[in-house]
Amino acid sequence: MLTRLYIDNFRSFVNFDYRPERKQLLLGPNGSGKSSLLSAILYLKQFVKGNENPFTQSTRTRWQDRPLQVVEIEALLDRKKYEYRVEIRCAPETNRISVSLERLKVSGKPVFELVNGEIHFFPNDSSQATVLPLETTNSALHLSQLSNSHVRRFVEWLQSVHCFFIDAYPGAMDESADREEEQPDDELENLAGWYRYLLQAYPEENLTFLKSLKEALDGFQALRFSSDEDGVRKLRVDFATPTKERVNYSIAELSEGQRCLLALYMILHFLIAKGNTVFIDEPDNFIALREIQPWLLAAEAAVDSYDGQLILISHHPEILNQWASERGLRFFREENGHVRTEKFKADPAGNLQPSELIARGWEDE
Amino acid sequence: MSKPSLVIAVLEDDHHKMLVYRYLRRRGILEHQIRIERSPSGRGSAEHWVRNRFVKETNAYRSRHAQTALIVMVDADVGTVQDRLTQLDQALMNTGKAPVGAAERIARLVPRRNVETWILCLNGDAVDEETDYKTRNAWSRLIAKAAETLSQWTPPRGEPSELCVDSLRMGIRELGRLGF
Repeated sequence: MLTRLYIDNFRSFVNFDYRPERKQLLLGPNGSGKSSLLSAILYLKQFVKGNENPFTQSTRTRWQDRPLQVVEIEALLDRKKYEYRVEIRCAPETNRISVSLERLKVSGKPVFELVNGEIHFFPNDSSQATVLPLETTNSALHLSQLSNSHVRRFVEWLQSVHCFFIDAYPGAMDESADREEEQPDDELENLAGWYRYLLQAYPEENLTFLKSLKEALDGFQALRFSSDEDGVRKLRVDFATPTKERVNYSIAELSEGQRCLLALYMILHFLIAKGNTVFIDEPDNFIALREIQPWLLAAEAAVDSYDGQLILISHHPEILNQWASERGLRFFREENGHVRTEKFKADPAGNLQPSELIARGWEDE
Repeated sequence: MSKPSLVIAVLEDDHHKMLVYRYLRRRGILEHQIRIERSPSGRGSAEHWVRNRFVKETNAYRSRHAQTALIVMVDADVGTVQDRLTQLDQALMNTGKAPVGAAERIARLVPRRNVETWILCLNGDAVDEETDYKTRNAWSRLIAKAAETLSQWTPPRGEPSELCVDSLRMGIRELGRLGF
């Protein structure tokens, strides 16, 4: 479970300390930093892979002139506290990027360290670190994965933290699945390839998933792959007709709302119900009002049952009214300054629903 | 094609919500057949909100021809179960409506002292109805188990164990009115 995220000198985050709950709703006006929080996590995931460094001169806080960007992430994994910190320096004159510090600690002890141009490996079976010189612009954590199981555990966990900005616009979700994709991408463009993997990996969960879809999508019968004339496998959706026949459609032929529901129930059954940490930016986009609460309640029950973690960003009244009172975290920026947060304060008299409080702009009174 | 809700639940907070939701799912009610209205403020002033909402939902229940069931849940807190039931009936009568009739599919659940008492009782703990157990932690797992037991104790399939506190025994009788 993700327990803490600290961001300094990244976009509008200055000395920003965030401690997520197991279920949480991030709310607040446009431009208050909610989606940027997810971007920071995605950048960190990309950085830790070690191929490239997405933190650049342009990702620093615009109105400050500090060279150092800092990200810290903490997680509770197998009852151990994992603390990762990276400091990225942008040289003032050349804009050259370098990693000035990268460190992973488990239960307070370092298991990997890159500091002052030296990399410190701590193999599992030895308390003696191996030290090698290394100047780098990218993460070096992956170099220690083979020799230290804690590093491997952390890297794998971080890659299982998902931040979704579901893109249901026509053409965004690729219907072809020429290979199995173990991880969904953040906009779920590879939904078909991911489902091809899930079908093989989790056949039992797939039955529950299809059952949910039958409830959520009128006339839904089945998902199946068929090959086109070039042999490319494509994901098709079968629906029943009024004459009880079956017709099938490509993903592209579904409505935006139907594509979103497909994506949301996949996330619910194959990620949340597997104990993953999942962030979703505006899961309510395109979804009919009638569909929001059933998904939300099922997701909430799945988080509780499988020790998952679900953090939603939403402006939708249905989600605000269900989640804001007990688990709402309000994002705001005073005079376009840095991002700040506070726990959402429900109407103490209980007269106004959270959505109405927000619609009136009374939420910070 | 619309998918009408079959059960409307008016509740105080998240513990009420997840207990009732999981119970209904255990009884075979589908995700789309459940509609939950919860207090905007959490506990404290929630009881007043639930009572007002109960009047509106009872009116909606009575004017709807299709089969519907209504659940209302409000903690007794330091009062008695009968106090709360009287307040609910009085709220209906204040608007010129009849109190809840024996044939109506309306279940009025009044945990005493509060829903956490029921959750612990349904998990096999020996509890009393005076102590406030709210400050304990890790309720999520306990609620899942509580909902399972509650379903097992609901007639006609089952009956409450000897450990069952009085308010829960009354609540189970109320749930029997729903017919599922």
